[in-house]
Amino acid sequence: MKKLLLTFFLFLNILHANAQETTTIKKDSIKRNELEEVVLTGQYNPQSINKSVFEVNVITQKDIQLLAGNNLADVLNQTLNINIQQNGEGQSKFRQFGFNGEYVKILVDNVPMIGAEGFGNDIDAAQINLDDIEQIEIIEGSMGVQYGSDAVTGVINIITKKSAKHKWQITPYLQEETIGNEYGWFDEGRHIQSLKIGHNISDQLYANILYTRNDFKGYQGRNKGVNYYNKNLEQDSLRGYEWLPKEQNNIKALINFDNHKNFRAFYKFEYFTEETLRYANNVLFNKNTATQTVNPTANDNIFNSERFYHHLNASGIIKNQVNYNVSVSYQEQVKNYEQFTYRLKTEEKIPLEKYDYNTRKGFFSRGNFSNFFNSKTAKLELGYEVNLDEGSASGLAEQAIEDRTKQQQLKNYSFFASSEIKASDMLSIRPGARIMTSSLFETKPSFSITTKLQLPKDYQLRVIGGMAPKVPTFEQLYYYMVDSNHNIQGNENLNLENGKSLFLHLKKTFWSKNYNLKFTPKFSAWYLDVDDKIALVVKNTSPLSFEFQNIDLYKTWGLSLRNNLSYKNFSANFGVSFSGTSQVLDEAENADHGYLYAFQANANLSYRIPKWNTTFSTFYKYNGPAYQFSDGGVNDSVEQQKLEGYSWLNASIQKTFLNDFKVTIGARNLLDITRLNLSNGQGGGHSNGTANQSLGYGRSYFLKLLYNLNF
Amino acid sequence: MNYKFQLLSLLFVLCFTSCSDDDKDTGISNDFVVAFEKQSISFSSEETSSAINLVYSEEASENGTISIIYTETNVSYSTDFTTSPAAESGVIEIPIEAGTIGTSFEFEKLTPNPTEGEAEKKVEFEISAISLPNAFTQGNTKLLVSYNESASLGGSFSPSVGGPNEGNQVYIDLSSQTEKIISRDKWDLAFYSGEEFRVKINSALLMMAAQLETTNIDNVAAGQVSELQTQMQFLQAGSDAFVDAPSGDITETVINEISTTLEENKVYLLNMGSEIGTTEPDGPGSVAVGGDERGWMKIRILQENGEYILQYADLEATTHQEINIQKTPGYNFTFFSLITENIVNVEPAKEKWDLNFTVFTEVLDLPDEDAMTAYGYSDYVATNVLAETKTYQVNTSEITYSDFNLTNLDEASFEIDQRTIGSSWRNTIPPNRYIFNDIFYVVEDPEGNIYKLRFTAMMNENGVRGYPEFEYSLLN
Repeated sequence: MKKLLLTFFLFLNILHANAQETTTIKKDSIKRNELEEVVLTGQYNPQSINKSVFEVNVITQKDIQLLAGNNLADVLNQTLNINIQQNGEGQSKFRQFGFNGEYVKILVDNVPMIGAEGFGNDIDAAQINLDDIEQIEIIEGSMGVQYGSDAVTGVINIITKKSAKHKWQITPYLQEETIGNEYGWFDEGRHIQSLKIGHNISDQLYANILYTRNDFKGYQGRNKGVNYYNKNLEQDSLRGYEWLPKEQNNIKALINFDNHKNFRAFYKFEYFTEETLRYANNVLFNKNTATQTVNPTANDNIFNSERFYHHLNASGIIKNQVNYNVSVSYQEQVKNYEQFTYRLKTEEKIPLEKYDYNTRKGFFSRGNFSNFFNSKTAKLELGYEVNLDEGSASGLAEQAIEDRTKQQQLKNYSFFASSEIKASDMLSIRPGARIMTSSLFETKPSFSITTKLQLPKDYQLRVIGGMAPKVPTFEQLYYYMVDSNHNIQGNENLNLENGKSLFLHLKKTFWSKNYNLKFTPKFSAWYLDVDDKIALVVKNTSPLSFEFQNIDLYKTWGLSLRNNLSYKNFSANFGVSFSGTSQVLDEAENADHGYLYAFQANANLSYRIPKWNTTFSTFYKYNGPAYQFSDGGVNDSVEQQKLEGYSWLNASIQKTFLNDFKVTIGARNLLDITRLNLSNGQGGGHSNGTANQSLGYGRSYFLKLLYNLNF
Repeated sequence: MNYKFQLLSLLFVLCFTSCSDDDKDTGISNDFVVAFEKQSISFSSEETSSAINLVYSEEASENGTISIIYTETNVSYSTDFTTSPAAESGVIEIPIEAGTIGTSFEFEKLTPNPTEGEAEKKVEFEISAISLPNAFTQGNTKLLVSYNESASLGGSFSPSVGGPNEGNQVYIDLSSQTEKIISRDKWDLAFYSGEEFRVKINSALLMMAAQLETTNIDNVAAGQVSELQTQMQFLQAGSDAFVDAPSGDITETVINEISTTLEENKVYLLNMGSEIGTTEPDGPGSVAVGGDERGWMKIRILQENGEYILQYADLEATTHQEINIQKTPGYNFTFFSLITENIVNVEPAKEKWDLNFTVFTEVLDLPDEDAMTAYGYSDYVATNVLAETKTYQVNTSEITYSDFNLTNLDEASFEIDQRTIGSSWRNTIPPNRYIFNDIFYVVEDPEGNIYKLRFTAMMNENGVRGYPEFEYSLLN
């Protein structure tokens, strides 16, 4: 057994070396692997984070484990400049630099995930399972050249594991969580069960399969459950849940082939289902006047999501020269909306309506080709990207089912090229360009330029400029609601929105003499804007009608300082970020709101006691008071709202027994955040009340039992 | 290696046990309530029999019986009335059938109504026992049968507004417990039958009218009025000028009083409003009252010999139709349809209705503008102001609905304005559409009966709009 293990260990190292740089000696590779993180996002080949021309923030598998993160929503709230917020359908939506999830591109192994608004767009963070992942890479800034449309505020790339050391790895785990103070063996709390089996079929072929079930029983909070109604027949909106119950099932499979020379391929499959139960907060009493009795009913919904993901990737070297990496992916997403009447007294469910909406299916392919010639000073990469997708406009609020479920198509073809020029030992420059042609929009180029300067005393300076277009949503293009009192219409003549960003990163790693202490501070400054941003504007005041137009300008700038510190068994990440956001609305008579400033800080500490096999960790993030613009959907006017400051604090203890049995206990949201006041700032509309926003479900505790059976 | 498998299997066991669902708490026992559907029935001199309905709070779970006793006032069983099933020793036994939600028995009147000067004749039925477990009576536990046309003691109505398209106008007479349902596109113009010569447009179709300069109806064409047409729109600043006063004041119609001087009666441009909606509403709990636009017409109205003369034509026409329209005594209006070109029967007789459930044209302030606009309201309740139906609103913070009686009546609060109930009884701002539980109304009908009235629903149990319900009770 030991011999076998050793063999696999060596094999794995070779594999790593192979993946990084064919020429590197094994020993160096091991050393580097221990010291540095390797990133893939935006790279020609997997690169060490130091060599990368982009500035990549990495959330490691270790961090995810210490957070007991089952999905992306569990993890990303600890990241600077990103917030995850729950919406009315129980989805966890991204916000990055104050932009919503339509401006952040979510990738899995470099391939965009299908979402409500197309590839990589408007993703529900809670639907991205993390049980098979290696790390999460986050790049801030417009990455249109590398990743195409909608990579406006940044890219989140989830890298999955594709190899293992042992012949067999069987990993079951069980995770039990309270939802705030609510927990029950069956009908309250959160229950996760997972089983992963990995097998090295031969030394070239690895396969794994994973099943995870995540059963979130919802958070009642101030609400009073499904069968509650006000006995005085007052409409108190207290029925149901504050956080909707949902259950997710996830099956993933992977086959990875690697000849350890010049060819590697993998096929990855995922099938995902989610059922969210939206219990209405209001009750219809259905009073019988004659008997003076009530037969309360509620109009409840079930959202059933289903997602298929296929990804075939091949990479290697042609004729010992040209590197290629080609991905082909087909993905499908269907949401089903079921409406029914629930009779509270008899617990009867009477179905009313059921149809698919928010469907999206599409074909994606990207190919990257590099290393056409041998030059130490210049590299060239060429690539193509094809996006063919079809789906229905996302909104539920349409008059007729035919409109709600009408299929629309979007086809994008792009070509991109970039070159990495090593001007000197100190300076490397990477200019890039992409041309995107589209079935719906004008052809548009994007450009990027990345400069990495190796300054004296190991200071590294990166200046990264990028562009990315944002594709209008089907809702913005095709929405139609016209009746005697309303006139809101989509606009098929909309243009792409234009995102541009400039980032500057300065960092240096300090080592203590004995290499016990490593400290890497990184200072960043940025400017990002989106012009031609689409908004629903008053097309005509008399009679009042609305239309989507490319009209607004959003700008954000900011500064951050992020630090990475490790000393013996102690490691820490801590940072601060200060940003200003400005919105110029043509709609409200050229209202320029000026910059609204926000402050965020985070600190993650972990301390490992080797003797006990135990790691203690805390994750803290402070979100300062922030102004946000309500998204101005079809039914809202754009309003400026102020959200009070709040903090997330998580803590956990992880102990490994008998080398293989890992127990993690911990707490999420130790500061017990639930709802925060949301007040209208100046310059808002006519309503001036204070609302509140549900952010969390209070202090919760978790226990995770994970077992690694390797042989 | 062995202990590893043991641990593994333990985890599996934990996994699979926690997957199963918990046992549901079954056997919710509900009370079974039986009551009379109505509080009172009155017989006109012509009527001789009536079904008396009993309703249950829910489906009967098993067979049983309801026992009903009665108290006679100047009548006696077998002589003045009988019932089917028949009474035995003063008790009527009505079977309850499992699976049903109500039952009834027949009342047959054997002697005529008392003439003036004779003592009143009545029977009061009362539910005395129900044989099922957890069963009792509540609400309308008694029913009064009167041998005369007296005002209803109260009850409830579910006006058939027609669901989310709200295609109907429903006229309610509280005292006789009757309703009249008409399609709201049945008529376009209403010619006042009172002293003045006044004409109103159909606000339920969201119509508008604008006076033109000319008196020659055949000379008006679209090109001349295009500017005016853009102003005659909902949510358009100033469009309140093109609709009848929503108060219902007959002297404030958009069409000026019809003059005896020919030259003073100008041509009017009519925006015919919208068809009744036919689409599904924009989401549950919403309405879809407005359909396709009905286009434009032109009219001119004159009076001659106590009659109206209506000239009308399509906007582009160079000739016109003309019809004489007479006032209808005993009714508020004579109604005319420009589509069928007929006089149509719409409202019940002037004093025979109190409330009208309808789509309605209101005027309101335009947000962020210093101007008013016309705006369409759904599930509106207009009162019969021309017959002087009076109403006012009471807040339950002052007195509850059940405590309110005649001694609490505040005559000074009564208003004669068809908007008093209007839309004030419900909130329709999504997602919280509901009826206000803390208000009720006092209504005095044209016959002097005073009722308290409150709304109990605006949606059906599936959350579909256009299913209003209210209950009311006689105070005097």
